[in-house]
Amino acid sequence: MKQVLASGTLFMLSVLLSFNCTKLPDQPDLNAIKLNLPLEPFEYNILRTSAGNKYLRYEDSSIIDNNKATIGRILFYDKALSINNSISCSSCHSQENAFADAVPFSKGFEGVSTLRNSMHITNLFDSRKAGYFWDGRESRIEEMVFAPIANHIEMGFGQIEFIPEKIGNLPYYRSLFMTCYGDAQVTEKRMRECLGQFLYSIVSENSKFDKSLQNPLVKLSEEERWGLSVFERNCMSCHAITDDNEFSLWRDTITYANIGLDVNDADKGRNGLYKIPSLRNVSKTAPYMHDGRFKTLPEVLNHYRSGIKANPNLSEHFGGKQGPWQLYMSDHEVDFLLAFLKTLDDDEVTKDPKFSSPF
Amino acid sequence: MKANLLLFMAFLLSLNRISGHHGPDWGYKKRGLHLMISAGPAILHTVRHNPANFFYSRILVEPQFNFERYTFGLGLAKRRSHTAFTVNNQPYKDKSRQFSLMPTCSYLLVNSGRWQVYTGLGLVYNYADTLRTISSDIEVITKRSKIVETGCSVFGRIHYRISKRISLALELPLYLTRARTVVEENYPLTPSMSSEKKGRYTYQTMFFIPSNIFLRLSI
Repeated sequence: MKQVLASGTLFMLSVLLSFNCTKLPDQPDLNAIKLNLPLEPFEYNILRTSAGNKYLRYEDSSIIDNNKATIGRILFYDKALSINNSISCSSCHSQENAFADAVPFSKGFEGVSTLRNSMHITNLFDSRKAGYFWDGRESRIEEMVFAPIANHIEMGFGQIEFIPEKIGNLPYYRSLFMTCYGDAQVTEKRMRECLGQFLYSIVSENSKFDKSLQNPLVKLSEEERWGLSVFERNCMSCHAITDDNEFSLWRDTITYANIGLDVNDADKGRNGLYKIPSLRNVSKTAPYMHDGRFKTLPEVLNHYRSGIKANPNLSEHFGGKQGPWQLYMSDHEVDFLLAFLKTLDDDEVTKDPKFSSPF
Repeated sequence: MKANLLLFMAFLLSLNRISGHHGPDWGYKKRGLHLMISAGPAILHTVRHNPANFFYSRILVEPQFNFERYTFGLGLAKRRSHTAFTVNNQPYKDKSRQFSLMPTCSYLLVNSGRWQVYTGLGLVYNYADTLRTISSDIEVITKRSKIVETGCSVFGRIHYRISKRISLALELPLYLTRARTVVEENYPLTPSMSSEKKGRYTYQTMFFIPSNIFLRLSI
């Protein structure tokens, strides 16, 4: 029995002695991180249109700067912009999905779902007048770029003044800021500008439909042309084809609409309305709507054919308070329309290395 | 809680069955040394994995000395746990260490053959240190929370003597504690964001139905 007691006492002592504090881990070597960048920066500032070459403007008085857009590209793909280094902007706006996300709700820095479907972010310059996000709450690209970074679900920083400090401590940015601004100082303003310039440079203008307008040798098939006529009859009231071939309605008055998804909107959007999105690369940006409820384009079209519900904010195009009116499209017309919508896909923007990850 | 009650009742019933068999009276030594050892946390998953209940349900070992009807003991508990998981494919690791001490003094109320009933007082000290590391290519973020809890307890113990030197024991404790949490966050790339936050003291009263069976070895 004495042996039992002695061993018990020894056990107790060993327990006491073995309780030491946990050691903090070593930090990674930041100098080992190499970026995949070209010797000369990519060309970001030239937008080729049917009217010939033209500068892509960043603001009314300036054009896209290749060095700034390059920094913006790195920031866009840098997971350091999330508080726990788990996600980057590209996590929810991936190039292969035409800068949208393939799920109804993206996952934030802690794996929590975001509240709305991630919109695609091509041709943001063209849609600036409508405002950014589904409710258009941001009107300037510089404001928009930091909103997800600060968001407590998305990238989690909360207080944005910490972001430049963190980026400034990453050695791979120093030479880039030095080249671009003459010193290596990372400021919030510079970061906003670089991100904004990169985002504005993501221009999709090489779809089959674009090419058919620019080059007489590229012709839409008969089915696609029928689809265009169906589109013009049913869709263009909202998804207008503007001078820049931007398939969203922001011409003058209507940039937001309620399409009768629900009788009562769980998400109030912008006073019951939601931004009318561009249809560029629409077949690559599923799922659809602000809550990603439709997985496929046929589901979307079925909604317009038979699923529109009465809603206090229903668009006048669907009858407004007298509605809901459904769109009449035969099955054949739906097939034609789907064929036409496919011509809005731009495979170049989804593969262009200047928009790809440098990590 | 239901599982706790069922276990407790089952234990009492089994004791009752055993006590039906009259055995020898081994008497009671006026001075003795004992070692109370946890016979393993009873089946209760919820209690076992609730850090707040850690000490109260998991005393691992308690050396005791009795003088006349008084028994003095030093309860000791310790636990380590490691968990790893991923968020957005990013590795998270939690290392947790907990350590508890409880000096006790109990008084023998009833001594009837195989049965002994004690009541007592104890002081409680719990320390828990949890370190979360979030690793990435650019930095390893650490978040450490330390909880220091102090307090006292009033308890009752029921012993059933299987033999002259071996008893089974159950404990019904009531705890009054004061706890404080200190959270240290370290962001190597963003030192301004690193912080140490000391929480306010919180007070709580806890009562536990026995969820552990002890083996008491006596000299």
